[in-house]
Amino acid sequence: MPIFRTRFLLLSSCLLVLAGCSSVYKNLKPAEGNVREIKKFAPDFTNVLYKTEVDVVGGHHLSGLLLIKTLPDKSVRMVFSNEMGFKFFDFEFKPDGGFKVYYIIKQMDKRPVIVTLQKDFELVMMRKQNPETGYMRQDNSFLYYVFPQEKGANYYITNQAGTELIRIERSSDRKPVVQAIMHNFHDGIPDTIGISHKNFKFNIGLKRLKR
Amino acid sequence: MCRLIFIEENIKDVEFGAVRFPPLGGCREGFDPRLTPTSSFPKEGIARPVAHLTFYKLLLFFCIVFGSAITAQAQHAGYTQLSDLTKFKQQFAEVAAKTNSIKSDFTQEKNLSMLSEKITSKGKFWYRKPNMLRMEYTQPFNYLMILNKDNVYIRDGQKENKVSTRSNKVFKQINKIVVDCIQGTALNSGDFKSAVYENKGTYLVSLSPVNKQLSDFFKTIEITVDKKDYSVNTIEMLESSGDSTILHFTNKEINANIPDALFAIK
Repeated sequence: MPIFRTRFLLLSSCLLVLAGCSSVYKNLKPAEGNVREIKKFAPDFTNVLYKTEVDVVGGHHLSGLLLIKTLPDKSVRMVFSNEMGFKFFDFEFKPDGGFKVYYIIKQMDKRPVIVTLQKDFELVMMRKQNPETGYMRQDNSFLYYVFPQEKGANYYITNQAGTELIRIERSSDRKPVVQAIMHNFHDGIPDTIGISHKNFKFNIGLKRLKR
Repeated sequence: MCRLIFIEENIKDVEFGAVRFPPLGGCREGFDPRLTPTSSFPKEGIARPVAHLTFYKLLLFFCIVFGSAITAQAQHAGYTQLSDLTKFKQQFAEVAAKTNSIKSDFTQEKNLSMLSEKITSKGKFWYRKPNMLRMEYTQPFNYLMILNKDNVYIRDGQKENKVSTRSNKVFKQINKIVVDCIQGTALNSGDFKSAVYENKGTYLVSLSPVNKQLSDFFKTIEITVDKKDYSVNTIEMLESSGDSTILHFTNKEINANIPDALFAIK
């Protein structure tokens, strides 16, 4: 009996491990469509101001204003400062895919922090998504525009008709590590943007301000 | 602000470009220990320690604490430097002694030089001796900050934050500075190099931090003071990047009756 129990436990553990390793995307089926079409949801950040909330582990909260402006050379500048004018960071996303930090306060000036912010915003701006390697998938409810990355892939998920952006996911091979939403587009600019990390608490919420 | 969140030791791992942070405690928005002002005002060419200074002292330190930065412009167009500050100091002191409260509207402009962009916000400002301050932003967002003696309260949308200056070193410092200013002992340190200029209608007090901790964040703070009543018209904080934040005070009411409730922290 103990032998059976041990084997049962071993077997169960193996199954659990296997289940744990399986991808949440494994049941997606091939779909027709052009991955390039997802670009219609790429936000047009000509000149927009967002009230910004950042929540981090331990209930910590950071708020301020995020100005996003596209300059004449097509680079996108992003300046985050608090309500009283204190600047947290000033980033530039260049048209050739380059990225420049013009300013960041010392407390945030750590590579992992900068890379995280860079990747999060590139995800919502739909930058660095190579349509050549991209492909389409679907399940019963949604269409998935998939863009493989160095590690994992980015998933832009729309309704079946491809007319509404449901959510965005940056994923490992198995599961999402970042989820993002963009809602209520007006003139190509989403009124609401949310970015949420799954492995630790790091959430960014943007609400467009009328100026 | 985010000092505890982003310090290197707190970053455990990076996965798919993401950062892992361990649970933390005690971080508050908007306050940075590195910005802790150690003492205070200028040692030369500046107004004497007078109570009225607490008005812009408070502002100044909130600007510092909440951030904001400043720049010393080499030249002040239309202004000439005061060589003898006696009159300025004396009159400022007289007015300051009589100023118990200030109520004002304000407009804040954040100028982003490289983006040729200006972010404007508006609100109301209340100050009362000895150390009570309320700044309420109403456009284009709602944000409230109250300083009342040992406590600071921030309401940002639905979120509320309270900080006791007793348990928080930064606010303890601020509190000390406020009291020092009121008592007139704060102006003897050398944290700022200062100069006073004048034109027809205003004085311009220029403060440049000599302390590296402060000068990392701003180059100069420039305060314009109305010659008519020695009240503060603007406070401009200039960053080394060329960006700046300026507060314009309008509809000023000196010694208006300000109810306690406005400074109440529940």
